[in-house]
Amino acid sequence: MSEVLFKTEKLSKSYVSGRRTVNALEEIDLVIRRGEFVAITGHSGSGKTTLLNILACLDRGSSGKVLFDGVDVQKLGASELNRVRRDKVGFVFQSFNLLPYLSAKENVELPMEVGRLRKEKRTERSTDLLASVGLEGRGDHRPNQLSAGEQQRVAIARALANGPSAVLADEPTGNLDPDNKAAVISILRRLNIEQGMTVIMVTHDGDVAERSERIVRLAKGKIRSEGRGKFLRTERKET
Amino acid sequence: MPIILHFRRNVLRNRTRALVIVVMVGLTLGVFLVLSQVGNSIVAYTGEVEASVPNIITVQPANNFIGGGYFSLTIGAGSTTGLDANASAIVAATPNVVSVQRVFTQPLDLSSATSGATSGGSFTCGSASNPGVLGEDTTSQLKLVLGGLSGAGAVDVVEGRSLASSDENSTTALVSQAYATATGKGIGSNMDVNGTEFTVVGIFSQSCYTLIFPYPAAASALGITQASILYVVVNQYQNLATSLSSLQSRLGSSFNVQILANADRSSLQGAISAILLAANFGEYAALASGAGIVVVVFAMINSRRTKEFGLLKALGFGNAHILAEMLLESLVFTVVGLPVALAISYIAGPGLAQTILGGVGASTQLASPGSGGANVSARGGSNPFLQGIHFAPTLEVVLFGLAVTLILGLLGGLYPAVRALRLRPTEALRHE
Repeated sequence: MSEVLFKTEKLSKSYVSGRRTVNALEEIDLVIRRGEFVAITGHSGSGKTTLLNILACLDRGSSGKVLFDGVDVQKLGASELNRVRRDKVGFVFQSFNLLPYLSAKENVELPMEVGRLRKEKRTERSTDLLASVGLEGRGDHRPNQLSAGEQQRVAIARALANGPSAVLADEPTGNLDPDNKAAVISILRRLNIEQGMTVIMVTHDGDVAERSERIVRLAKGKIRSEGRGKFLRTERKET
Repeated sequence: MPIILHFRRNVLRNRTRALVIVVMVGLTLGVFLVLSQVGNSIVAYTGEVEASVPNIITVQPANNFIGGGYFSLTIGAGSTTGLDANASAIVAATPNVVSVQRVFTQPLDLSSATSGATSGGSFTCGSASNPGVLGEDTTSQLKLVLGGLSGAGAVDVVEGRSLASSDENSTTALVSQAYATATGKGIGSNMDVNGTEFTVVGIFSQSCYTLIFPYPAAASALGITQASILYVVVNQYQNLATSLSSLQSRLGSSFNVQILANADRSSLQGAISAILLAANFGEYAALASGAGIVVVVFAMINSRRTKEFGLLKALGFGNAHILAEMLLESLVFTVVGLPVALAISYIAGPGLAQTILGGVGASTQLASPGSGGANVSARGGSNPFLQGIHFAPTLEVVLFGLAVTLILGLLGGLYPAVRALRLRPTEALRHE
């Protein structure tokens, strides 16, 4: 049994919307081990994106614990959270969030810049990462010169820039056609299989969720059920 | 340096945004520079006016009444006033006194005076055979005066020239038009006054029969040893009261020491203060509105970058990094806007200044009581405020503009930066 990477204990998140208080998450207890490929699913408003944001240190819970690599990130200051986001988390957004005035290569190098990696190293690494997502020779293209699927692949390469412990993806296939959807899932699976990368993916798409190793279903801010996906550990060995 | 690297890419690849900001900053700063120059010109001109208005104290004998007529006289031949060389020396030695102008007034031949003569010895307008004489020092800062009394007008020479300081020890003379016409005197004519020959060098506008001679020659020819009145010029308006007290104390109660036209002088001072306040207000108002515009422009443009800031935070960029980048960006934009501002100031400045000050014409020439108006010789033309304005970018203007731009840049960058930093990455990323 591999070590625990993420662990939440009675994690709750509430916020005020207008005059009413919304309980986005209620006492979530969840364990994700290093190397797992987990899909978090649920209907809109179920709290899946909120949970992912908290795991990615983009947001904080209202109460409870969030242990990331053994550290309770709920207690970390802003600068320490920055470091966690920079060094340990790779985040993939549904809408890619590439900076339009940077080339694909520069977008991938962006997290490395704040990580103070030397330029030669950055160039070498970004070239390798783009190649690993099938974008050899497209490094100088701006986002508006790339298809949606290509942009999402650039975003995945960017998420891997600083060698994170986990890749967290929020609806990574939400804006993609079936072919690109399959390609992106394939990349994430390959990362998990070949590099042992922990992947946590939020999706409302049942087919996509089925391609993960474990499925966590949320409803009204609570974990309703957990199950296994079709991506079995045996498949890893075969790949 | 990731800050500079990211900033450079951001600016160079968002040229439209950069251009809009630079133009806005340049326009705002350019208008401010123009208003600043206009304000400086107003301040300088009013300063000249203020400096040119004499601060005058009069010294008269206490036992003699002088005044009441256009050409007034109470001191008959042989009368004493006490305003002799000793009194003049005491006055001249008083602190803050810049110069002393001795003046005496007297009919040329009192024994045969007829026109306007009264039992009290007053002399109204004289005649061709019995004109009034004014002896005046020509070396003082003051102009020649008619009547030699409070409120009397300045000499208006219509032919020839006036008396200059170089005439002080000469026997030159000015004659009134009435006297010149009646006696046939013209420029270069000679006149014998008790054996001293005076030469007419100028004719001034007046319907009375009046002659003006330099004080020493007139006193010598007429046997005058004491002046009728002393005009004392004090160095600063603020020192008038002190000087008044000091003079009265030194001269004693035999003399009346008064500030000439104090009320008018105060009124002038008040007007100048109001003008300066208005000029400064306009300048500061322009700066405040300029800063407001720049801040709003930066805020509007940067609010569209909120999502970008959210992304940078999500990727691990710290608040200090984002703050430094935004401040660097706003500073660079404002500094780049400076040449634009200088160009706008240079090109549009004259037109804008004309629009602002165009309604202020020759009537702006301020008059000072008893001295014939402010002597601001450096400002000719129809609009004195416009004469001294220069819009060419001097080192002083560039440095001033640079200081203002840096302040505007910091103000413009700080607000949106702080606003962006307060957002959590997830909030910022939701912005569209």
